[in-house]
Amino acid sequence: MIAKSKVRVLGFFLTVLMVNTCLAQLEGEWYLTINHVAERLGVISFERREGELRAFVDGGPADFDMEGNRLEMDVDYRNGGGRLLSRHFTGTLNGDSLSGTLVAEHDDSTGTWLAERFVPETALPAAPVDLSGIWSRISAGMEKVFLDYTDSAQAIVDDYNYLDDPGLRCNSPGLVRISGWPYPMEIIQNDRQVTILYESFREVRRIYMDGRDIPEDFPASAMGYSTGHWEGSTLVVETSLLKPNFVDQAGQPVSGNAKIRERIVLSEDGQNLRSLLTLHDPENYKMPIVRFRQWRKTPERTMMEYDCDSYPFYRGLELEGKLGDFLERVRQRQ
Amino acid sequence: MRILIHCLTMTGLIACAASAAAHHSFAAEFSYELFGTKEGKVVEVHYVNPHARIFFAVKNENDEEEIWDAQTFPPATLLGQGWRRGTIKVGDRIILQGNLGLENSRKLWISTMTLENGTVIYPNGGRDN
Repeated sequence: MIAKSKVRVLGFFLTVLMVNTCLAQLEGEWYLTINHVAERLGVISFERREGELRAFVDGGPADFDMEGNRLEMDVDYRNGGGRLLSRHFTGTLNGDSLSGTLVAEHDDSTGTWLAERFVPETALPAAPVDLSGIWSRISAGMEKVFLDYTDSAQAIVDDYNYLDDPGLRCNSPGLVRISGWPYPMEIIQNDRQVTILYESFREVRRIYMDGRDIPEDFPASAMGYSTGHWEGSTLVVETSLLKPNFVDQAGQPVSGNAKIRERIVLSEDGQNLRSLLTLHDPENYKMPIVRFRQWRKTPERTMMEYDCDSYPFYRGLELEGKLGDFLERVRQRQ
Repeated sequence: MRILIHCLTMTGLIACAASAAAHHSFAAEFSYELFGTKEGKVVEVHYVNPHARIFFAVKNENDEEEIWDAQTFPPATLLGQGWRRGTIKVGDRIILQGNLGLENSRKLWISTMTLENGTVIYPNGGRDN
């Protein structure tokens, strides 16, 4: 009888130990690759907060369960039309790898996923590569919708109306969104400057590579002021002096004090480009927001003019009888 | 032993629902469930970004003319589906099928457009939003 009790107690403690060991192994950052319709990249981080391990995908909180070495997780996203959806992940932890399958709950479509532990970059001497050419978006990444908001950001999100989207009125939606827009970009490069011409909103970005500092008194803009340097063959770009804008079309704000770091990597065959964009904006988010972008080289494409007209937007509001309300909303937000 | 770690609070879930209804110009304006067909005469046509747009006059059941607001993908997408600037003009009669606007608004997101000569155009190649 005593022996049986001891075995039960020992079993309980072994189970607790195994679960705690697995949870401890999760802590830290993991690069996530999912294959669901297309390949998408993201970052999972497991952080201990108030004694409890929490999961974050691309900087937004995600529900997860852990049983032994088996993990389940739900991650929200939107489809191209803006519909709020969710993917349910199941998988197992094996050392420095997490992998499994996923299902999109609205249509039961399935996919696979793999997460590998983040390995800190070691300092490498500059080894510039040629990024020039026309690039077309493959994927804008996981783009998790719900993020780790501060109270002030939550209030902005709650107050957001889709009519606030500057893109509907042909105003630039800003660096974070334009970097993921489904239109091509052309990169022109020399030793002193990398210039990116975006088809979207005819935006132009100059990334200064001459070692200058970002000036303090330069006017803010939708794409900000960017400086860059090479870490090995990775182009690292720092951007600030951003005008307040949004992370996506759900109204997650970007403040004027936000800073963005991008790590842009060319694939070995020179045909694919990947950017890990991290938005540091403590006014709005308790942890940095991550967005992964991927493009493929498309020399056969010709850049088109982004012919944008805000008239149909206002005409539509007039027909709906909402133009007066919209103008009043704009006045109140000034 | 099962460890449950829930990050979304009830407040968060409420925020989810509110934001879902106020997000994208499609999901915020059009129904995923309600579809309709409208025939009418083109009043204005705008082959521009961010969305191509047609305002067209439709006769209602009382034989009164109503202006409907139809939207679709931008020119870069439409070009690949055979819809060019000049494919339709003011005064043309067209039949549009697609997702209807929310709140009984006179809006429609075009899934197919039938021209006077019978040509049918699928703005997004028949894919869903």
